[in-house]
Parts: sequence; C-alpha cells; structure tokens
Amino acid sequence: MTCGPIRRFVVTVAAAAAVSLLLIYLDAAAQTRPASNGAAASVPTPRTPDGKPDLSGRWGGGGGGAGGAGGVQAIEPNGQVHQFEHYSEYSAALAAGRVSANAKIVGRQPNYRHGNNLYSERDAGFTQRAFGNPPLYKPEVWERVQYLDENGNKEDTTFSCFPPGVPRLGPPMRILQTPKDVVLLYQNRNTWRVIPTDGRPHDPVNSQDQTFMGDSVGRWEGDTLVIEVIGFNDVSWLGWPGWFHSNNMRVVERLRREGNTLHYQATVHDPDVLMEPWEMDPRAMPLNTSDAPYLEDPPCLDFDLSHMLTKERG
Amino acid sequence: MRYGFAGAVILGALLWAAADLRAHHAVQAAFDQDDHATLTGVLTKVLWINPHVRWFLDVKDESGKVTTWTISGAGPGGFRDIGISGRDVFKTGETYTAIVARARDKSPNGYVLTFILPDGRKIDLWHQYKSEATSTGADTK
Repeated sequence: MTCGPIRRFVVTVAAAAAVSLLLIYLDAAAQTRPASNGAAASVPTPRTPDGKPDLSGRWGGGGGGAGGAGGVQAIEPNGQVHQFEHYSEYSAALAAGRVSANAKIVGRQPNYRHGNNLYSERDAGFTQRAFGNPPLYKPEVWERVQYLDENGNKEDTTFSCFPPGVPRLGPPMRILQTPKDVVLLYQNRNTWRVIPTDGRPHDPVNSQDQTFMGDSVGRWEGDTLVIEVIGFNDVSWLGWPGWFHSNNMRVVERLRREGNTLHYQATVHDPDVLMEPWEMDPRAMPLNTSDAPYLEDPPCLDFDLSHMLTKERG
Repeated sequence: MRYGFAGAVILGALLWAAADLRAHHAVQAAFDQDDHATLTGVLTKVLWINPHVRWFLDVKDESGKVTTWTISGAGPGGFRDIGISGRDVFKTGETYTAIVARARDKSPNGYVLTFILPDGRKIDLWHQYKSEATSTGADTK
C-alpha cells in the first residue's frame, strides 16, 4: 500500500470531522440565536398599566419527553404500518378491527444513529464537552473539575433527583406579573418562584440560607427585569459535566420581552471558584398560545445509581 | 478508493445529525444493551415517575422462588407524548412478559425493550436491539 490512499483517507476523515464540528457549531448557534423573526418583531411589546413590559404568558414549548417519541405505530405481520399520534387512536382502531391484534405496537421509534442509544449517549457527551460553554475555574479547583468531569453520571446531583436549582433550571414556562412581584412557574419539578419587584432588599434570613433556588429580588432596568439571587447551597451544578459552584455564588438573571419573544440570560458571579463571571447561553422563547393543560411533572426517584458501573453518560 | 470533498461533507453531515441528539440519562452506564433477559411474571406495581418509569414484576423460577425485578423505561414525559398513561396498558395483578437489557451488575434490574401484554400483543418501548434483524420483537437470547 502506498502512502497516497492513506493520506487521502486521513485528510478526508479530518475534513469530515471539521465539517461535522462546523455544523454542530452552526446548529448550536442557531438554537441560541434570539428568535427575532419578522413576525415576532412586528408585534408591539404589551405593557402593564404601570408602563412596564408585560412578561405574563406561557413561554416556549413547555415540557415534553425524551427523544424518540413520534407517535405510535402498529406493524402488521405482513409489514403494513399503521401510524397513530396517540395510543388511544391505536386502541380505537384495534376495537374497530382496522388493526389486527397480531400487529406489533411500537411505542418509541428510533431516531438515534443506527437506532443505538449507546452511540447517541456518546455523541451527546462529546457534544456537551466540545461546545458546552464551560465556566473558567481557578487553578486550585482544577482537580475537582476533572474528577467531576470523569464521574459526571454518578456525581450529577440531578441524577439523584435533587433540583437543578438556579440558573441550571433555565427560563420559566409561565410568568404571572403584578405591580409588586413577578411569579415564575417551571415545569421541572413543578417549581415556582416569587420575585418581589417593590424595591425591597434581600431577605436577611433567606439570603443567608443555603437553598437550590436562592433568595431573589427583582428590579426593572429600562425594559429588562433584572433578578439578583443569593443564598445558594453548593450542591447544584451550573451544567454538565461537573460545573460546580460555591455557596457564595451570586446569580443575575435578565428577562426581556420583545414583541412575542422572551429573552432569558443569566450571569454567575462566584469568585471563590471562578476566574471570571460565567455567562450562561442565552435563550429566546416564543410566546406559546396553546391552551393545553399544564401537566404535573411526576416526582423523581432514583433507582439506578447503585448499579451504574461505567462512566457513560449522554 | 477516493475520498473527495463531497464525501467529507456527507460524512460530516452524518456525524452532525448523530450529534444533534439529546440523550436522556446514563442508561448505558447501568444497563447492557447486549445482555437481554426475558422475564414473565405478575405485575405488582407501576411507578409513573421521573427520571424513568418503573415496573415491578414478580418472576418465579423453576424452583418456585420469586424474585422481584425492577424494570425501567423512558421518562413519563416520553410516554405522555404518545398518549400512554400506564393505566391503560399496565394493570397490576396480571401477567406480563418483559424483554429487558439487564443491569450491568446482574442485579434483578433491567431496561425494557418490549412488553408482551396479557392478551399476547407486543409493544416495543425501546429500540435497543442489537440489529434491525432482531428489532421485530423476537429475543435472541
């Protein structure tokens, strides 16, 4: 074998990797880009009687499940495929004799590479590490950073069902606004926060507590609601893998409505462990006009940590 | 064999498509997708909880000894999306067969691939079979 084909193969693989990384980057950029399309921008931002932007509304896509949904299929022994949105439609078709009882039901359809969840989890782990916007940690905590990176599937406290906390929780899915406070509702663990906006300082007791959500006070800076949060524990993470923080963390969240788009951004100040403030990836969410019911997020109970033997994690 | 720029673009695009997935949890760390078990027993409890739905199946071996297997599935949100509430498909006290990916520590835990319902219907709830050839519901072990 000559060097030519080998060199060409290496170049091709390298080029493919570069293209892949570029596309991943562009995809990530597209997902974090503010959704300021023409339609959204042309809608005036609603205001409350006191002149503040009205953040009230249902935002984003709401809850949802893991990847792989896509309706229900019933596959007849002869290969004929019936596609249904919901299991109840399949049941009705079965009762009406339109589907045979021998048809195999497929409740979750593969959308993974080769239908293989193992590859999918490895891909996700790679992507999160390569493009995950990690905080810049001080050298004295690098050993812990590395340990948590290597043991993220056992050490991630959300895996053992602790709340993600602020700011990992991300933006709310529903906002209720009054002249004196703003109520944030989250699907995740049916969480709520009440942010006073009447100019009061941090609560002297709660701000010294150690909680997942911290003690929040809000103020308006122009059309932006700025929320200062202190009083955290050091259990929650900022993100995976192992982006920890101290209990002296201070988080500044910013919520801004432009037409029917809500922008969310959070900055983490934690000089105990970080070299510089960490900017969480911004989020932009469209107003959700659905009148679908708000569903309970079932409680979380871990059964798996005790028999988790490898470090795989998606 | 030549590998041109177009080939690189196609391969890169495939890698990108694969990376654009958001896996849920460390399922592979706990369960071995290449080690299947077929379990038949009485369904004693269903927990429609996060991060994974749980079924509890009392499985009797040849000596008559009963082992309670804990079987995991997707998160409740995933089932909710396709309209399976648990109540309509899984009834405690009835006999089910579960084909599972076994826990790596060989404890009586598994991640469900397929349930065979009491009336004989099969429902695939994961897609972790080793190849398309086995994904029709027939276990290979």
